[in-house]
Amino acid sequence: MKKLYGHFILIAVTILLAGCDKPAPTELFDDSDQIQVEVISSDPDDEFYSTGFDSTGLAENPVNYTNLVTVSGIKTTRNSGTENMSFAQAVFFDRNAPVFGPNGRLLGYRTLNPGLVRFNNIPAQLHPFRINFRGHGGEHADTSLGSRYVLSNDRGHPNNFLFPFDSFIKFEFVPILSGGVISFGIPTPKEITASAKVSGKFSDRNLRIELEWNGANHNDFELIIGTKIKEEERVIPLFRVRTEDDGHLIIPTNLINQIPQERFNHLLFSLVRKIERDYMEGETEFHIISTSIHSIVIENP
Amino acid sequence: MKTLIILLISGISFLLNAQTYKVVKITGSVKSQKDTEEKWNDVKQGDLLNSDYVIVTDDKSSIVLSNEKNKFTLKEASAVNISRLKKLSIDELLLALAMENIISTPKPKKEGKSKSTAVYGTKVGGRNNLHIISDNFGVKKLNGAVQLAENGFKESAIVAAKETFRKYPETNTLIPYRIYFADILNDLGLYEEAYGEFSEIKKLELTPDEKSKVEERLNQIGKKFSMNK
Amino acid sequence: MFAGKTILPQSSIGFTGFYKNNYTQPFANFESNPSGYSSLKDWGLSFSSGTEFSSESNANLYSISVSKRMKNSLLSLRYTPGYQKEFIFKTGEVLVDEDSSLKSLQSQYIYKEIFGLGYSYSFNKNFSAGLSIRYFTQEFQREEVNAVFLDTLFLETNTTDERVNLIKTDLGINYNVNDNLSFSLGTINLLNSVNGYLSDAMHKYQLDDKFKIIAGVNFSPFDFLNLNLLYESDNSFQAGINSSFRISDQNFSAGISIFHDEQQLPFIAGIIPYLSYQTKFFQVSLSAVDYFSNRNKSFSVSDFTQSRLPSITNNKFSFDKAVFSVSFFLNTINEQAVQFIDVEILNEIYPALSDNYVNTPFAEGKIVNLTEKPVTVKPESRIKGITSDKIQSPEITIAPFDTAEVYFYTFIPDDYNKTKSEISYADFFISSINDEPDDQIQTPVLINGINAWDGQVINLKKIIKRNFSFAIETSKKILSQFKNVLDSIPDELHQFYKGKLIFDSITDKLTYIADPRASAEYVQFPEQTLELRGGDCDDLSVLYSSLLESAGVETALVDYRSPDEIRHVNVMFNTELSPDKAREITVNDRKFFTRKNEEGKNEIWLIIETTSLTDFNEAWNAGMKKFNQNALDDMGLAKGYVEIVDVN
Repeated sequence: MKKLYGHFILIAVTILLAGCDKPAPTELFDDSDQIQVEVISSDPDDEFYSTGFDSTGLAENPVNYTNLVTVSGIKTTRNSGTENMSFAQAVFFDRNAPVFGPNGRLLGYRTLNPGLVRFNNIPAQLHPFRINFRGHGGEHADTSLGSRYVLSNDRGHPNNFLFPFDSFIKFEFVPILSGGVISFGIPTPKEITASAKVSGKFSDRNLRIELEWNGANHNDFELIIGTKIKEEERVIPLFRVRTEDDGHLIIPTNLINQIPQERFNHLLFSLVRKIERDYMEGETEFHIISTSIHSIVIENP
Repeated sequence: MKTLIILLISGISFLLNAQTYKVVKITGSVKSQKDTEEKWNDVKQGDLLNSDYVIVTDDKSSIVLSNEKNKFTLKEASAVNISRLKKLSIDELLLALAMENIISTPKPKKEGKSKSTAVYGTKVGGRNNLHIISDNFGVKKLNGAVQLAENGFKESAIVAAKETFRKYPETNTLIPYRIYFADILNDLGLYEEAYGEFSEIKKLELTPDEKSKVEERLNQIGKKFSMNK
Repeated sequence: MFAGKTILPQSSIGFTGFYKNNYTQPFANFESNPSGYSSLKDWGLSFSSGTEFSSESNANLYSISVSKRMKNSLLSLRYTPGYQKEFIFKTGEVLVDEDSSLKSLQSQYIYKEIFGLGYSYSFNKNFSAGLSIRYFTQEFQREEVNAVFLDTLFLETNTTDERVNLIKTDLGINYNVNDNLSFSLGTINLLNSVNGYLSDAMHKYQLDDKFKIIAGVNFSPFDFLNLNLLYESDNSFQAGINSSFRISDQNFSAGISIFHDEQQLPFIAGIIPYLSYQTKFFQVSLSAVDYFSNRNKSFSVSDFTQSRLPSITNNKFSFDKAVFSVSFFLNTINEQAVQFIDVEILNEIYPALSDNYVNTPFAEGKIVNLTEKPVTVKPESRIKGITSDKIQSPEITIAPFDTAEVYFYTFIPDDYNKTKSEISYADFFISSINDEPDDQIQTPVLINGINAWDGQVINLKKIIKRNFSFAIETSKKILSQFKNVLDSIPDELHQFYKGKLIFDSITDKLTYIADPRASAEYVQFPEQTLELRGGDCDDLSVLYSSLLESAGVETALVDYRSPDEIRHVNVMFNTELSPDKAREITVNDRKFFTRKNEEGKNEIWLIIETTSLTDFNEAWNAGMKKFNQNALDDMGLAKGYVEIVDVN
């Protein structure tokens, strides 16, 4: 009988141990905030350019496009209050005239001014287009690529251009040389209005920022997290966070709390609703970016 | 005076022991032996003999005994134990026969089969009369037993005979005596015992006469069995 | 007998069905059998393995457990590698790498129950209580996006790993009203101790520690049917029914249970059908857990965070399962097959009659076969002071559940010589299979002194034959003195003369003493009689017979039992003379007795009154007289109060 036992135990154990996988895990899907995080500029010191007016320091890398049209309705909230701004620009790059930086790096292309630009029948002005870069010795330098067509309505430059949200802006380009007027409508997103709940302290590295806004389930929505360099006016965009336009987001703490405080103060959170598309007219291609932005500046958190 | 005393003593003896017999008449030479004594004493008329005694008559001698109940004559060449001079009931007889059987049963053999009983013995005198004159004490005792039967003590006669056959095994082959006492069993109605006895007799060496007699008896008794059933 | 396995709707799942008497399979089913009550007899070992039907089926070893019973305690240990549940959360954070690949961050919450220990104590056959201690680990791994500011800025995933150990201690009691009904009561989460750091945010993801009570009832209205119900204080319950039938040693059962769990939908969350086959040595069972709701759908994190997980093995995320279990019952102790009812000493022990006990039992035992098979029993006994080893008696076979008498024989060593009687103890043993007896019992026994005698003349033979060498020596010595006489007499008279000469030579040495003690109690050995120079009729008869026998003369004892109970013994010896030679020793035919020997030949025997210590003749006369009167004339031999006992 003992022998029978032995055999049986052996068989049983073999059968039982034959199946020794781990139990399958249950996958749960997070129905809470979905976010996608991306580093915008890995070297904060090596930013390409600044839009000047665009406080987000958007990474619209000019090397990528030939003809770029951007329109933005921007709100900036600081401790002192909120300012509104409407902005529209058009830049025509000459792909045949690249501009290189000190290390042979392509900084951009020279611009062209091929005609007249009008936004909602309001003519745009020509403004210089300069980009910043680091020189040989690491010093800040900038260079001019030419001019761009800008229409902006802000404290410094009041005019009639008012960015219409959830609407259209008529764009007109009247070429000097050949070709007819190119005209199209630029759709504009709904206005975004946000607020931030701040708790904790930056210095304690437990800063917690909860953003709330009027969510519109817009499909192209992102948050740019940036920081302002101390003693400089420049704003460096650090991260792009894509998430649902659902009106609520808690900033992942590990993004903001790791920011070295000795170099940076002031955090900027820009919520961007964007409509980005390309428009072909004949052989001319335009890249259009239409955004509603609300930037919240948290000073000395 | 002496007579009176004797009478008194006799009387008392009578009262005390119903089996005490007085010697009434003696012819010739009669001897007695008491108990386990070795010696034989002469018996005289007037002697009182109780059941401890055995008496023997010589040739041509006889003795007459009596007590208030019975009278008994012992003929010549016979011997009898006074203790046998009493009436036994059938039950007592059966008990005695049973005891004889016990005594006669051979000792069980430890191993092996029992041998058949050897038959041996001496023939003394003639066979045809039941009073064989012989010196053999056993024969004398058988004679005495016959007389017990003739004197009305049939049951005792059988017991006496059986004892004699046992103690004097040479007498076992005296067929007339065997038949005689077997007949008494028959007469007494003890058919099984009689049948058994005749069957035993049949095993012995018989004359044709004896044989037919025995067989006739066996048949008769056999019929009685079937009748009674 | 039903094997048992209980399923707890809420805090755990048993997987193999519910049976009578709360017997569980695998044994250490702490969850559903908190008192640990079990009818396991010795060692038990079980394995349980199953397959989960998730999106891909996989097989796991659920548990290995071992249990051991030690008298009233039962200890169980189990290792449950299969009791684990892992949750993977896609946290919603996605990292875009430098090369623009997307990396989803996820969290893993892993709950495992690793070990369990159970202890149960049976106070009596109705009531038992137990406790269980179970060891769990809870691991929370979270990946988070982390910005690293070095020479360059980049994002990396940061894994936070928190692990806490949890020890759950619970108590339970079980009450068997009778063979068919039992109740149980237990705690869930009585004592939880957590060890390890857990950040605040994670606290709510731990296993639920809400205290609950679980009550159960198990009822068998008929032998083949069992009903059971378990109820938890949060309103979860489980109810089951099962049926079994038995063919000789084997038991087949099948059943089904349904359960309701407060956190699961629908109301009856699932069913558990099972089949089981059990023999004396092992049990196998097959069962399945079928949840009525679809468990293969995707669950959201908010489903998970709604309420804390009450159980690892049975929760709203559990998958359907099929389970295979096997258990082994290993009895290293043998079951008692037979048992004494009582033992009766049949006779006092008379050491002088040592041979008797080889053929006649001295004790009778009544025993019962406790099993359902016939059992062959080997009886043994040992008497303190007489035998140092166990003496075996003949084996008997007893039918199932039957009682029988068993007889014990013993053997008294020749050198036993205590003269005083004493009360000693006899140990009786009955063994069925092994060397170890199934049962033993002790009774006092009276051991008489060496001279004790039970009064039966037939037993005097033993005393006569004892120490025969002394008798041989003595009779030789006596006869050698009369060598001349013996040489001058005819051969056929030799036996007679031996009887005479031996008697005469002892008479002047001896005195007849009526035994002050009742003569039935005490008899001297021949050497003692000579030494003491006297004895009563038994002692003298024993001496005379012994000497005669040793000289080659056949003897017998004549036992007189008169109606008034006065006993007397005489010696009868065989002269080997045929009756027709009687005249050579006596002329009185009342001085001898005839007996037929084995061949049927009549021989003359003389009865001697041994107390008549004058001379041979007187003793012979006295002996014959008594014999003639009592044995023959009075027909004592036929009536039974005179008995002749041959010494050989």
